[in-house]
Amino acid sequence: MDIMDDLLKSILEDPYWGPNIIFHGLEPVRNSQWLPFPDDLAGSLRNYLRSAGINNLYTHQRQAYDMIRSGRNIIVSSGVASGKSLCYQLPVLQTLQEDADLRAMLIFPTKALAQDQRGALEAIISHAAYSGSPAVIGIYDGDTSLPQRKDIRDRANFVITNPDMLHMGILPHHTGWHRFFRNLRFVVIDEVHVYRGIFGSHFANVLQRLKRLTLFYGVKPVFIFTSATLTNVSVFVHRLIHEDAFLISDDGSPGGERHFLIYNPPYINRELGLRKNYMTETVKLAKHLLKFDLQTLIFAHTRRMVELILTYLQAETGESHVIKSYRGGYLPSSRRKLEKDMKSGITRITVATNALELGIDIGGLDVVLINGYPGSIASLRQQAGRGGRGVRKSLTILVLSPALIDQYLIRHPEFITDKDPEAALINPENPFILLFQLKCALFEKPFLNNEGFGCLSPEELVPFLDLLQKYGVLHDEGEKKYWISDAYPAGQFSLRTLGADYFLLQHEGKTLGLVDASSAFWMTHPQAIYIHEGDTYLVKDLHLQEHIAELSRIRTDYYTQAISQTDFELLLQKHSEEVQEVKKFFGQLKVTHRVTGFKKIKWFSNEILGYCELDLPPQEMITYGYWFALGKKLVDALCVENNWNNRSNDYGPGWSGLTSQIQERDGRQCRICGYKGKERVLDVHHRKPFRTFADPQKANHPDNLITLCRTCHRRIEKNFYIQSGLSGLAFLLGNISPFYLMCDRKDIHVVVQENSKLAEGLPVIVIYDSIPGGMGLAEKLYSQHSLLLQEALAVVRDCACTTGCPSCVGPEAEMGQGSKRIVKKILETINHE
Amino acid sequence: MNKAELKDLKALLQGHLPEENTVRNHSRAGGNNLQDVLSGNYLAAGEVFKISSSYPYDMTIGKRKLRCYRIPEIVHKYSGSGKLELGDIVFLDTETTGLGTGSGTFVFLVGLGYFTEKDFTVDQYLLDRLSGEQHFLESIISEISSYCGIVTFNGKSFDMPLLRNRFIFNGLTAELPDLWHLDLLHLTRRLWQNSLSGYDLQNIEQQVLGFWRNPGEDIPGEKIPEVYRNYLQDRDASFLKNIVLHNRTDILSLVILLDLIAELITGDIRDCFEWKFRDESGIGKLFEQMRDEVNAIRCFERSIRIFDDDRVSLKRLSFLLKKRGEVSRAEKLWEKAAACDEIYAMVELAKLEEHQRKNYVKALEWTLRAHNLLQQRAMVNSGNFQSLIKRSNRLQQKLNRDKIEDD
Ligand SMILES: [Zn+2]
Ligand SMILES: [Zn+2]
Ligand SMILES: [Zn+2]
Repeated sequence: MDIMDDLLKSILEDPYWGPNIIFHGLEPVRNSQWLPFPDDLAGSLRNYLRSAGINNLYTHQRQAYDMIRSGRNIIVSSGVASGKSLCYQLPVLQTLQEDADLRAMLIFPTKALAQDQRGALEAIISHAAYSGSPAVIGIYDGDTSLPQRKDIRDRANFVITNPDMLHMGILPHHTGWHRFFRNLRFVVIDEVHVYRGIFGSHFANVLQRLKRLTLFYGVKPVFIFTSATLTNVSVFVHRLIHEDAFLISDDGSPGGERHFLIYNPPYINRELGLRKNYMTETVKLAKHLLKFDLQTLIFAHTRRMVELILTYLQAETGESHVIKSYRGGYLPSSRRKLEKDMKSGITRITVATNALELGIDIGGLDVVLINGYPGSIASLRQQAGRGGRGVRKSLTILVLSPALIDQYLIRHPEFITDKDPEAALINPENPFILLFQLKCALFEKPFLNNEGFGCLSPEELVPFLDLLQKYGVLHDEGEKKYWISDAYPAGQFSLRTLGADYFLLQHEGKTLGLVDASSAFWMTHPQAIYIHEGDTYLVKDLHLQEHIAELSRIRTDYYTQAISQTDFELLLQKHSEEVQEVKKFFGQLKVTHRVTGFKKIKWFSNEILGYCELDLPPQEMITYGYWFALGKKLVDALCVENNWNNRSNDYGPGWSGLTSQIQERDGRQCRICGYKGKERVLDVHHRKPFRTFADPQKANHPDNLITLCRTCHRRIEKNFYIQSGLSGLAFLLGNISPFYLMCDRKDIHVVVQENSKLAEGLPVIVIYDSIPGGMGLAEKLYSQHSLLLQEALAVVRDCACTTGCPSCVGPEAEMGQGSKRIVKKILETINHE
Repeated sequence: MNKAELKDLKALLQGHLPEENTVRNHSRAGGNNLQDVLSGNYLAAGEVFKISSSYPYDMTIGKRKLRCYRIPEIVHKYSGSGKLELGDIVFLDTETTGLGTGSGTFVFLVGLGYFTEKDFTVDQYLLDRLSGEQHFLESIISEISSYCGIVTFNGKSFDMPLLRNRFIFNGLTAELPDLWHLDLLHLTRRLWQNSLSGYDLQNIEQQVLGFWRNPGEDIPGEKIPEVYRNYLQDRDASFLKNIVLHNRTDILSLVILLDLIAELITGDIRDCFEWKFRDESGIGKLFEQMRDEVNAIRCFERSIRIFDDDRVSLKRLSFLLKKRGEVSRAEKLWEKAAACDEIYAMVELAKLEEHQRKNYVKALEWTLRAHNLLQQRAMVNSGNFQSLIKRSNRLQQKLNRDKIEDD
């Protein structure tokens, strides 16, 4: 029994922890599989490997070597710490032995990874003592000084860079890099799975530009990708480079046992779906971990939460010297010290935000404790991947928040462990992204008449190039089309935004980042709480003219949620299909979106603290949507089953007196249809439902009461009933869809329409790509419609609450009670159960 | 995305596109041809237009005469060239479609000025269609190739790299000849540091050379790309005339600016100091180039006295002193530089300790410090790195040997 087994036992068999561990995943010990060094490997490299204690290669390393040396593109898709770097280092360095002029480009998504890799390459090269002129390695990024830049362009065999620098600093200046391009043999793209959404779609185009130029300089480099293990990674890579790449997924490296626990805080009130505060539970678990001689890393969403956890832990244990936090915004020196102390083991517990980015080396840890699902499977896996060193056992514990997105994981723990998630969707043909990328491509080299771009044929390119001509940046001379503007297109947009139009996020005059104009109103409206890299900000002002969101640092106990009105205009219906009682659609939509106000919601309890109104102009965009309509028969059936109950609600003392007063006031007449007769009963109806008021006096205020005939009353109640059902379902679908799209929650918008123009007046739920021009998300949902609805039913059915809770159909304060019942009914009818 | 979806791309992107220039209509009726506006002729392929203009030697611009005798001497001294004749030198200025040096910036007008037996001539090549770029560049190369020295203003970082880019872009096998290059911007900055309100040619003309351009015959530099862009689209050459004049004036300014600089530098040196020299470091470098070490040392020393953080002067001075055998003075400077993390200084100190003083412990200390520093830099030349590793290995061996001998 080693210490990890003791720890596991102490949790699993504990009467408090044990029953709340709702999942225990185990990745067994992985034995190493070896192959000998390849025959053609140079003596100096062999010597280096031997000196590093390597006498054989893992099978995937050897396979990669052979493939790369035979000129094939490859993808190495294997686990954390499986020696992926050596897969490309060896073949590239071997080729350098044979060709001293060789050039290779290595693209890393973060600075830390780039630094890391330079160190590794340098170690091999200085050890392997290259004959002839020594190899030069250069990091070419925003920090590289001007004199160094020239030197790197002319002399570096290995240029380590990032997508932004490639886009802004290298491709538009390719003639200055002609020596580099003429000898470019390898392009290494590390951690390719991080290129998703807008960033990934831009990156695909940047690579297309790179390929266009390598063709110009007469070379055809081999592309080498490394990736986390993903399903369909080959398809994803093909979308990126429009070439095939050989997939190497056998992992020959050894690995220790990896345990994964999901801890769901116990109920306080089962009916209301209320659970114990998850952060408090995380702190409790961390205290327990301190009893063992193991090193722990805790991840939390925001800097505020990091600080809270740290404060509690330090106060409750009195061991502040071994408990530290790691977040953005440190000075380099103090950051290095933190990293050093983590690596050396002085720090026992580190609490971090995601600022602890890919590639920051803190050594392997024994336990990773994750305070709430980080929002995407990719981040979850990345955080969990911090655990484990060599063949030692490691443990990850995910503490769930009550949010639906967290609770949904319980249904699919395989998302975390055995089953690989799908590669993310990218859409390089998004017209916004494409247009801006084409400008850059045109700047770099004129377009020939018969030239396509990526998967676009010359004909498909015509409307784009025509538009550039209309805008006066393209000059057509018949055979070729030239860039003719004095602008520098690559400087006009960032790969992190759509490119079309964005707002700057400014804090004390400093720009922190960008947000797409299409989501600026939604995410950074005045008074919004905005979280950037784990830090919480208040949006002081949104300057519409200057396109600036002015932020100030704030400590709050609430977050904000925009309230908006959305209208749709159907531009082009691409697919539709009747699936039992519902009809599903996919098409191009014009969305008019108006943010009218926002809610302040308390963290943890989700209590609504207040509503505020906003006066912002409407925004229009064209994007893609998936929607489905409940058929008429289904709606009617639901209403019958709603069995309109005459169960007299307890509307408080004096209700009957009040009703006759109101009826008197309304002239004993239905205020909707004007009915005045004796056959139908006249009811008094609460405009805003009684149950949504805390104070019955306010609910029963005459302004909230109205006289209706029974027919109209039923219709109105029915509408309310359907509406609350749709809202609950929309909440549910909006939260589980990201799992099937590998996207963030904010990448899609969900809207309910009771009588929608999109489906002849029927009630619909619309889910659309929140990015103008779309990312392909809605189309994917359209194809997964049935699966999605089955999943939704399972969630509702299995949730322990009675009337609805944040873990299923949404917080009750928002939807009103009873939403769970109708959602369940809708889903059961649709799914024929 | 199919055709129907892209049907009206502009509508699709509406409201999301930033403002852009709109273009004038093609081929305006009644527009002027190049030949109506400018006296020149099309070269063989018809895509390049050449204009030649001559100016008598005794023409005055501002307060100066065009003909000057000191030019070859100054070019010789500051470009590092061999002995030159006046006729070996060409003055170059380009007009371009943008200010960047990226691959989307075209050179469309190149002016070449040179002295003949009887006058000063400016040949200008205008790119009439972008498709003619290769011919355009070939015409320029064949003319430039007959000179040995070239004079520009900011040509080292703009005109020449841009032309070189265009050559590479067009896959021309003939490379731009490697001429002795004198960039007057560099000299001007050194001579009039901090005393001009701007260092573009226009400011220099007004504040140093004392002349103003005729607005009717010139065009502000920032308007040039747009005018040329319009010409390509509507083929009306009317507005090109001012660009051609602008370019020609640039070249004439170059000549008289160089003449003034020559007068200042080749005259009595003491006079020059009394004049408004500010940049001692820059002048020091000039003296160093002229191999006048005594004056160079004096300038660098003065510069360090004025600017405590002038690392460049410090480095140059230390090597000059080393070269002249004044090692102890040099050592003081290296120690100061090493305190500012200068690797060269650590290497020099290591050499000094190893070879002169045989103090291997200290030598190793300096070597390791340099090694550690180098490891933190963004770019590593593994040559430097390896030489440091070699040095430290050698020192270790020497130290071990000493130890054994001590035992
Ligand atoms: Zn009625
Ligand atoms: Zn529930
Ligand atoms: Zn000019």
